[in-house]
Amino acid sequence: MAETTATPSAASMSGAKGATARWVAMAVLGLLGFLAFLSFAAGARLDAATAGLVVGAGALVFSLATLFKMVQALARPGRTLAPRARQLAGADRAQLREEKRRLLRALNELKFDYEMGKLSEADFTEVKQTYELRAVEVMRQLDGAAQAHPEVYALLEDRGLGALVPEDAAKEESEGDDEPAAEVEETSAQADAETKVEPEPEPESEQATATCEACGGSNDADAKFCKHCGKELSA
Amino acid sequence: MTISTLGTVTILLLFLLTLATATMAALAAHRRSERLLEGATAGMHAIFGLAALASALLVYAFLAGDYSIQYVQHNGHPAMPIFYKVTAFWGSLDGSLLFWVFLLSLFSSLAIRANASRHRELVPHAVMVLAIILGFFSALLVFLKNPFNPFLITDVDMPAPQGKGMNPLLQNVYMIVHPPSLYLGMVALAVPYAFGMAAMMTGNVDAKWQRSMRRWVLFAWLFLSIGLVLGGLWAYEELGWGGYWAWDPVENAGLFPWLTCTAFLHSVMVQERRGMLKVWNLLLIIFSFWLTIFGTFLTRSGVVQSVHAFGEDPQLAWTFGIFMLVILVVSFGLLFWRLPLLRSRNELESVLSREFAFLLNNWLFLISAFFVAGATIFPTLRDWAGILSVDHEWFRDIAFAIGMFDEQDWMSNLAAGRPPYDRVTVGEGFYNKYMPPIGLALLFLTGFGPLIAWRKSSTDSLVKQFLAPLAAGGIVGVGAFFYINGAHGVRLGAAATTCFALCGFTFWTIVQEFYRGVAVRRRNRSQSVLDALIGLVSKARRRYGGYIVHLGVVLMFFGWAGNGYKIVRKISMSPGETAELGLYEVRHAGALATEDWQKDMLSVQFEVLQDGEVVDTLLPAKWWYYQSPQMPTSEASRHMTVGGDVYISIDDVDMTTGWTRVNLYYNPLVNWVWLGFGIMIMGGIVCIGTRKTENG
Repeated sequence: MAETTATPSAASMSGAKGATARWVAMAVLGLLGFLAFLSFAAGARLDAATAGLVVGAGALVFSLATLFKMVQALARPGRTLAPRARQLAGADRAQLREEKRRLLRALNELKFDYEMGKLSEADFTEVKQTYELRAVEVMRQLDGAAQAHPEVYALLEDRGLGALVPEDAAKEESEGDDEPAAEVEETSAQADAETKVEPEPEPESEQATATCEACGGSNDADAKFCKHCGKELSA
Repeated sequence: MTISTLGTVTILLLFLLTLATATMAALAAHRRSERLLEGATAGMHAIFGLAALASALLVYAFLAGDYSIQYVQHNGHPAMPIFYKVTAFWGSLDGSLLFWVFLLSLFSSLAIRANASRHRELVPHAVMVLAIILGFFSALLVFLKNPFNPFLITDVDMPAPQGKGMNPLLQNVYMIVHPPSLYLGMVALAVPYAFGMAAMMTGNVDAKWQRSMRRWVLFAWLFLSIGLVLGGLWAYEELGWGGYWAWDPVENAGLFPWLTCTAFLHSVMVQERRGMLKVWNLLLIIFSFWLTIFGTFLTRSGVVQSVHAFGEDPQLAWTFGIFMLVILVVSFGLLFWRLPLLRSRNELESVLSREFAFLLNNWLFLISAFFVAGATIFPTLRDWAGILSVDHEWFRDIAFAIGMFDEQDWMSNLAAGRPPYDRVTVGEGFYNKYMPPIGLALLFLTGFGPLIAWRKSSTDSLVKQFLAPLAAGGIVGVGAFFYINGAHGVRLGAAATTCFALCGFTFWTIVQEFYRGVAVRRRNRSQSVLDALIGLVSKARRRYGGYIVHLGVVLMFFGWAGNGYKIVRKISMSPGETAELGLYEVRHAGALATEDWQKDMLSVQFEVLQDGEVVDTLLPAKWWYYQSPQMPTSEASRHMTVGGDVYISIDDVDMTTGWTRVNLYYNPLVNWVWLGFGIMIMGGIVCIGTRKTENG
């Protein structure tokens, strides 16, 4: 179940421990192999208890090594963890990002469900539009745009979704993306891209190049929907 | 230094280290100190090292035959095969607690390592929670149940007496795999719990931590399933009462967390898709962990009477009781504190949506878990109430008022000089009355849920989705009823017929899902059917892995439905006599007595006849282990077919005449349960998969 960590920041710490564990395991296996060799080649008597003792010795060495590491860590001059700017304030943003991922996945799944005949066409279009509207809004908020496109608001009000119009639309979210790389990995790896029929849009850190035919707004190069008006972009 | 002393010192160090690690982790979280965090992480790994050392020492003591250790003396025997000597380590209470600590420290160590970067802000708190849990269990080892306690009679001149040997019933391959598998499952649940607590403490309650923890829960679920089914298989083959599940408290102990885990694995999807049920998911994690501790409490403290509880121990019962209370108070305190952060962004839109199906499924699972837990603990609670009522009048009045005891019986019993109340038992019949409807409802949802869309489904799409499965269900139900009526001459009851019908329904929904998925895939790209199938499963492993698990569940239900025409005959037979058993006949063909290094064996030969021809010869036996001659074990023997088992066990044999009291069972479709289980495990493995393939 151990999932290997990818980012280098943790590798220094966890990698060292992994190295100790590997080293000890190799030593134990080597010793067991040597004992087995002795018993076969030289006719020495090897009983199970000795093997047990070797494993025990390995465990002892491992505990001593890790205890040493613990003391070593404690003896170092103090350093505080890099403060996480977004603890609670940034939670909103994390939630938005999560919601975006969820919406995009939901859209994919919706399409798949539709193709499998679980929804009628009317249902499909209706649910799809609400998802799309929400997705556009979430993406705009994530981009830190001052306000959504006025047309989007009008459309939202139109549909009786006025609640989705943020009261403080001018709220500036100036914080940068803290882990775009990890984000990509998460989206593709974790988000069980089950129903992925076409590739999901990349996170918001890409260059804006695609232009929307409907409203002329600029979008990410691989965006699927316009973030200004919500129309589907041609490939 | 003896192994006994060395082992005691090791677990003492282990205990102290858990305290130190918990303190360091708490300080690291408070001061945001990097070095303290590193110290705590290293401390967690060192705890694992020490637990491994203690375990290795105990195994060594068994292998080397160090009978100066009480635990080894009680459970070891020089003549036991090496394999059993190693597994005797967790064969009894003290050792199983050490094994528990070992597994928990291993998982903690792995989880901390795997999440060191991904959830850095959670790590100090998680280490703290895990270290506290480890501290509790190692305190049990140090203060109450030291497996390294010396055997007191020994001194230098007088060697310790030879070991007694492990309980003969446990010397069975299933029994070697079953307990550790259950332990693995139960212990693994501590990790999601710790990270859930850490998420609440730090306020990072987004779904990110849950995605990492989902795998742990899945892993725990997988091992709990393996443990439960192997326990059933063991009971079926070893105990000779013709069944595999008797709602014994100890079996139930593994079932509660399994139920809540299953609920979590479903409801976490709702959170992922729709951002709902955040509080509910945390609740399920808390309950799952709490129920593992509750289950351990039930089996270890002797508060319930069971065939395989570990024996009575009030001290342990109190300790566990207090620990369970602390977990509940702390967890729920945190949950209430963080309630504002856990508000859902979406609401349920329609009753005809997959969310709602999931919600129903969750309620049913949670209800079952608490129903079974309540029924398991009820006799004990009633006993406690009885003790309190004897001592305190006010409590007695309450007990009478809520109907716990009948006032007139109480008084008349007292007047007659009898104990005022009898201990009640909640038997198999009680569970068998209430659980099947819940099980059938869940089976229905298994078929219903995947067919409807998220958010809402319209009526005409529902008709399109459900027409074929409903037809399949109807055909299977009616077909099974008439076929069994014709071939076996048994009129199936409503429950069994419904079960067959629902099996057909759910089976067809799964087939339909695969078929339509493949069709959609082939429409989008030109592929062969097999390629499309593989692509489908590998692209959406969790969804289709889940369907494979469901397929296994359907087959298991199919096997259970067979109980509808089960035959049980308890008769006496002499050699040469023939008895009828459904479509089969069983002929007594004589008895024989043999012995080996650890037991006397008395076997009776039975010929199984079908249409007048011998199809198999069965050899059920009674074994008297020299170690416990007053408790003979019953060895069942069976003739396995796809349609069902002929299963024979013997109660009593007269060696001079060969007269035998015999239990004959015909267990229809029972092997489908094991087959379904195998498929379920495969599906679970597909769901877990590996990260690498997920990327690739």
